[in-house]
Amino acid sequence: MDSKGLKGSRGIIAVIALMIIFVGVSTSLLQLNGNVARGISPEYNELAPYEAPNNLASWVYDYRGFDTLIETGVIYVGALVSVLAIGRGIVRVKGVEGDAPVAPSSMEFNVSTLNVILKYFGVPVIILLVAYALLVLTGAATSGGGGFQCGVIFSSAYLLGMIFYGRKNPLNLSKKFLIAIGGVGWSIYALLGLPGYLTTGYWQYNVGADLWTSGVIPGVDGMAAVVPDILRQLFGDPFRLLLVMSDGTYASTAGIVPLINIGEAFNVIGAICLIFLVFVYGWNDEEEKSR
Amino acid sequence: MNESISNLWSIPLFIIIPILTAIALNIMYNRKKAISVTAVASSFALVVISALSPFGFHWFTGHPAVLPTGGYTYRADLLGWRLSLEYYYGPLQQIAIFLASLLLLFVVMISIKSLKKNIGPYISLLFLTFMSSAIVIMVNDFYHMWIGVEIGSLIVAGVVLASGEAVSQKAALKYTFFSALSGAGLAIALALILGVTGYSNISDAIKAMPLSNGSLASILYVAFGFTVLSWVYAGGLAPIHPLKADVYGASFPHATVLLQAQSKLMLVAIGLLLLRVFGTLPFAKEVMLSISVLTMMLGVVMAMLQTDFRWTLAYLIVSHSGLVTLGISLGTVQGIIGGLFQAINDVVYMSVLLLACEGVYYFGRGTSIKSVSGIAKRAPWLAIAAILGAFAASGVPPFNGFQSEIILIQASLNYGMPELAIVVLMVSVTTFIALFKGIYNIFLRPDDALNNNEKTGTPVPKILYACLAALIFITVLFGVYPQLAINFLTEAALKVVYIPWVP
Amino acid sequence: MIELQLFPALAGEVTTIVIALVLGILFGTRFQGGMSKRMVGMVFGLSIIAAILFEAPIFTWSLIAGFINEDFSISLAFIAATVGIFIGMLFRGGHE
Repeated sequence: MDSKGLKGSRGIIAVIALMIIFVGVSTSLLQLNGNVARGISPEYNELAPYEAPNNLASWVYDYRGFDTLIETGVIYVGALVSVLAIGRGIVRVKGVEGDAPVAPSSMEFNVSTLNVILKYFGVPVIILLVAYALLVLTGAATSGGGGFQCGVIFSSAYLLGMIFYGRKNPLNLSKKFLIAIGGVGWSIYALLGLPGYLTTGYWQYNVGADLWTSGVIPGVDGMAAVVPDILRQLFGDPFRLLLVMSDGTYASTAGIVPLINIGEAFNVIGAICLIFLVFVYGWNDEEEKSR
Repeated sequence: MNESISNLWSIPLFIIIPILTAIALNIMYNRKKAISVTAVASSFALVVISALSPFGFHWFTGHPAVLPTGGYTYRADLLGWRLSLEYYYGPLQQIAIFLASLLLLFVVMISIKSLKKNIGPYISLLFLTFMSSAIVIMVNDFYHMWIGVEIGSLIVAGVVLASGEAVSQKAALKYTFFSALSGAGLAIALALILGVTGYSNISDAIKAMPLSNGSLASILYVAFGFTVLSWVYAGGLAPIHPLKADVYGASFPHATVLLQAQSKLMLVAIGLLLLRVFGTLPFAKEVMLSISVLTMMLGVVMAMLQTDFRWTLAYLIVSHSGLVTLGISLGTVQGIIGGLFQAINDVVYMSVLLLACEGVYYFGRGTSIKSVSGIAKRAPWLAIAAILGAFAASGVPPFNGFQSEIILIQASLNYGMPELAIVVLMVSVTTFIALFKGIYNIFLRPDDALNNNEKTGTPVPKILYACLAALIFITVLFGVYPQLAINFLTEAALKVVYIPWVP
Repeated sequence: MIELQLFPALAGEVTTIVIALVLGILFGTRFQGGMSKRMVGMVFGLSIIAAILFEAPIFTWSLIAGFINEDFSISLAFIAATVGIFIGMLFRGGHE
C-alpha cells in the first residue's frame, strides 16, 4: 500500500465509506442503549458461585474455553507469521531459482549511551516485573488476572532488558527456548481438554469443577458419563476455595482454569518475546546452527 | 436431519490434531524425516476421521442447554439455549472437510517432496489453514466464526510470506491490512447481534431475533452490512478481488490449493450465515447477488488480461467464487445446492489446474507465458492434466464444472432472472478462453530453448502426478454421478431455506 | 465472616503460592549475570512492600496464605515468585 493510492478519487471514496460506517455504528449503538437483551448471561451468572470466584475467568476459560483456545492460537500464529516474515522458515523449491528472499537485517541500536542509573536499576525492575507477571498468572481464577496478562507483563520485562542491556539481557531467553515454550504452552492448553473428552466425551469439560455429573446442580438430563473421583480430586482440589457470599458459602474450585492459564501464559510469553527478539536482531539460520 | 448427539467424538479431533501437529512441526523446524512422518500421518488421520465420522453436534466444554421450562438437557434436538460453544458436523461439513483434508494430504506430500530445508513452519501453517477452514464450516456461533475468520486470514498471510519474495511480502501486507477490517467488521456485527438478542449461538440468536421491533431491525441492517463486508474480504469478492488474487498468485501454486479451498469454505459458511440470519431482511439477497455478479465479471476480465499463468488462475478462482456466492445469494433450495456444489467442484478442478501450474513452476523458468513454452514435449501428462482441468473449469461435460453450472443456470431461470444465467454462461466461456491462452502458450507452443538442450529446474515429482490423477478422477466422478455430491448438500440447503435456526 | 486460622481449610489458598514458586524457579534459571547480596536484599525488601500492596487473593482465610485481617494481608505468591527467581538464579545464572 503506497500512500499515493489513497489520494484522489480513491481517498474520497474511502473517507465517504468510513463516514457511512461511523454513522451506521454510532446510530445502532445509540438505539441499543437501554435495549440490550440479557440472553444467556443470567444462566451463566446463576452458575457462577459453583466455579471460580472471578466470574470473568469462568466465562473466558470455562464456558467459552474453546474460543479462548483458538484466540490463544491467534497469538501463536501471529508470532509464527511475524517471525516467518523476518526469515524463519522461508522455503524454496528445489532446483528452482526464484527471486532471492528479501534479506532482513538486524536493527542497529546502541545501548552504551544509556544512563548508568537506569542500568543499575534494570535488573531489580526486571526481577520484580517477572514476579508481578507470575502473581497475575496465579490470580487468574480469583481476580482480574490471567495467562494473557502474565505473558504481556513478562514480555515487557524482557523488552526492558533488551533496551537496557542489548545482547547482554539479564533475562536471557534463546530463540529455541521461546519457540519451545510457546508451543508447549499452546499444547498444554489444547491437551487440558483431553481429560474431559476421555471421560465424558465433551472436549475441555472442566473435570475439576465438574458441575454437571457430580449432582451439584439438579435437573440435568442426558449426560450418562460420570467423572471419576480421582480426576475430580486431581484437577479440582488443589484450587478449591471457600467462597463466602451473601447467599451462602460454597466450596468451589476453578478446576482446570488455572492450569489452562499457565499454558496460555507460556504461549504468550513465547510468542511475544520471540517477536521482540526477532524484530530487533533478525533471524539467521546459519547463526542458529553454529550456536 | 435432527441429530440428538451433543458430544460427537470426531469434531474436536478436526481442530486439535492440526493444532498439535502444527506445534510439533514448528518445533521440528528442519528435521525433514520427522516432519514428513508426522505431517503425512496426521493429515491421513484427518482424511480417515472425516470419512468415518457420523453426524452430530459437539458442545465444547460440556455445558448443557437450558430448557425453556427450566432444567438442563444434553440432547441437541430439544429446544434449549446453548451454554456451550456449538459445532455441527453434518453432510455438508463431511464432504467439505473430507475434501479439505484430502487436499491437505496431497499438498503436504508435494511440499515435503519439492521444498528445500526449514519446512517445519511452512507445513505447520498448511495444517492451520485446514484447521481454520474446518472451524468456519462447522461452527454455529458468531463469536467463534469471527475467531475462525481472524486466525484464517493471519494464516493466509503466513502461507504467502513463506516464499520470502518481495511480491509475496507485498501481497501479504496488503491482505493483512485489509483483512483486519474484515475481522473487525464481523466483530462489530457480532457485537450488535449480541446486543439485540443476547446470544452468540447462531441458532439461539435467530430464535431470539426481535424482528417485530422496528427500531431494533435497523440495527440488524448495520449488522448485515458488516457481515457482508467480512464475507467480501474473507472470500475475496469484488471490490477487493485484486488483493485476494495477489495472495493466490504470489504463493506457491500448491499452497494456493489450500488457500482457495479455505476461502471457498469461508464463502459458503458466511454466505449460509447471512441467509440464515438476515435472509428475511428486504434487499439482503439483492445486495449479495450484485456482489456476486460483479465478482464474476471483474474476475474473468482480469483473468483474460494476465500473462502469468499463476495470476490467470488467481483471478479465475476469484471469479468462480462469484459463481458460488451467486447460487447461495439466490436463496432458493436449488440455488443453494448449485452454489454449494459449485464450491466443491471449484475446489477440485482449480486444484487440478494449480497443481499442473506447480509442475510448470518446477521447470525453473517461472509460469509466465512469455518465459516458458513447449512444456507438453517434456511433460505430456502435465499438459493433459492441465487441459482436462481447463475443460472442467469451463463447464464442459462430462466434468464436474458442467453439472454445477447447469444447476446454477436452472436456478437462475427458475428464480426469474435469466440475465444471471447469461452471466454464468459468459463466465464459463471466458474461463475457457483465458485458460487456453495460457495453456497453449505454456504447453503447446514450440520452444526454442528445447533445441539448445537447456536443463533447468527439477524433475516433476511422481507424487504430483498421483495427486493430479486422483483429483481428475474426482472431477470425472462428480461429472458423471453428480448425485454423489448433491446428496451431501441437499440437507444443508433445505435447512437454510425452511428451518434456518437449525445448523 | 470466618475466623482467622493458621492452616488453610482448602488447598486453593496455597496452591497459587506453590505455582508462583515453581514458575519463578523455572524462569529464574533463565537469568544471567551475577547479583550482589545488597541487590538481593533490596529486591526482596521491595517485593515485601509490593506484596503488602497487592494483598492476598480474595477468599483466602488463613495465616499461611497471607491473610491477616480484612484490611491487611500479604500476597505471598509475589514473594514466592521473587524467591523462586533467586533460587533459579542459583541453579544456573548466578555464576559467571
